[in-house]
Amino acid sequence: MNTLGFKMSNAKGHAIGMKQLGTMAQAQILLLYIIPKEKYHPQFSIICFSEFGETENLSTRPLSPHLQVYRPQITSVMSILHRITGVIIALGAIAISLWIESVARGGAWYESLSGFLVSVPGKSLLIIWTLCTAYHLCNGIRHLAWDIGYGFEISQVYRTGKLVVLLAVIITAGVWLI
Amino acid sequence: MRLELPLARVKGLGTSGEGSHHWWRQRLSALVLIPLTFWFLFSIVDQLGQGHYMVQEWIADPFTACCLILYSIFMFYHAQLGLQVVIEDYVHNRGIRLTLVLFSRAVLLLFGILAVFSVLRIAL
Ligand code: HEM
Ligand code: HEM
Repeated sequence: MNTLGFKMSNAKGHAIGMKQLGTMAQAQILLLYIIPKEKYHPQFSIICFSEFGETENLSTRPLSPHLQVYRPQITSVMSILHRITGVIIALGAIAISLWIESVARGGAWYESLSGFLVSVPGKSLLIIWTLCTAYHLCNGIRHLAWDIGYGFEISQVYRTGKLVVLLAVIITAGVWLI
Repeated sequence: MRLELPLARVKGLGTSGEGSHHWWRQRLSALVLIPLTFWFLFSIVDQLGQGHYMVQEWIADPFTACCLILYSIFMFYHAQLGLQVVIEDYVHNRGIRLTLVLFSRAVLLLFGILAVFSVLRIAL
C-alpha cells in the first residue's frame, strides 16, 4: 500500500515499494498525486519495465484499459459510433455506385432497384444510412476541430458531443421531411 | 500534396511504417467530403421516387455529374483509408491483415471505378 491507497506488486505478485520501481514507474506514480482522484478509474493499473527488464504490474487488478471494467461513457460510445457509422456508409458507398450503375443501364435494373428503395424495408435502410452519414459527417467535423486543437476542454467535449447527435437527427429529419 | 516535415517522411515514423501520410490523406479527403456530403444528402432523396428519365436528366446535368464524380472518388478514397485503419486495429495476424487490406482496397477501387464510369456513361 502506498499513500495513494493502492497495492503495488511485481509480476509475481510480491509486494514492492517505490524504491523497487523503475524511473518511469516512479514518475507515473508521482503524476497520480497531482491528478484528482475522481479523474481516474479506481480499478486502474500501470505496467512498466524495471531497470532489470522484468514487468512490474502495480496492481493485482485487471489491466487497464480493460473495456470490460469501464462503464460506457458518452465519449467512448461516440468514438466507437464514428467507426461503426464509417463502416456502414462505406457499404453504402458500394450501394450508391450500384444505384448509379442501375440508372446507366435503365430498364428492369433500374425499376427493380428503385422499387426496392421506395418500399418500407428500402426506405428504412435509407433512413438508417442518412442518420449514419449525418452522424459521421458532424462527428467528423468535430474530429477535424480536435485535430487543429479546438474543443479539448472536457465540458466542450460533452457539449459538442451532444450537439453532434442533435444535428445528426435534425439533418436526417430535414433531408426526409423537406 | 506535401504537408509533413521532411524528417518525418524520411524516417517513416509510426507503427505502420508510413509516417503521417495516411493520417493527412484521411483528414484532407474528409475536408473535401464535407460540402460534397451535404450536397449529396440534400439532393439524393428527391431523386429516389423519380422515373428513370428524370434521374438520367439529373445526373447528366454537368454540375451534378461533376459533383457525383468528385464525391465518388473522394468517398471511396476516404473509405479505403478508413477501413484500412479498422482492419489494422482488429486483425493481428500480419498475413491475414495484409490480405484483408488489399482485398478491401481492390473491392472499393472496383466500385469507385464503376460509379465514375456510370456517371460518364449517363452524362456523355
Ligand atoms: C484529399 C485528397 C488526397 C490527398 C491529400 C492525397 C495525398 C497523398 C499522399 C500524401 C500520398 C503519398 C505520396 C508519397 O508517399 O510520396 C498519396 C499517394 C497516393 N494517392 Fe493520394 N491523395 C489524395 C487523393 C487521392 C485520390 C482521390 C486517389 C485515387 C483515387 C489517390 C491515389 C493515390 C495513390 C494510388 C497513391 C500511391 C499509394 C502508395 O504509394 O502507397 N489519392 N496520396
Ligand atoms: C461519405 C462517405 C464517408 C465514408 C464511407 C467514410 C468512412 C470512414 C471510415 C470507414 C473511417 C474509419 C473509422 C475509424 O478509423 O474508426 C472514417 C474515419 C474518419 N472520417 Fe469518414 N467517411 C465518410 C465521410 C466523412 C466526412 C464527410 C467526414 C467529415 C469531416 C469524415 C471524417 C472522418 C474522420 C476525421 C475520420 C478519422 C477518425 C479517426 O481518426 O478516428 N468522413 N471514415
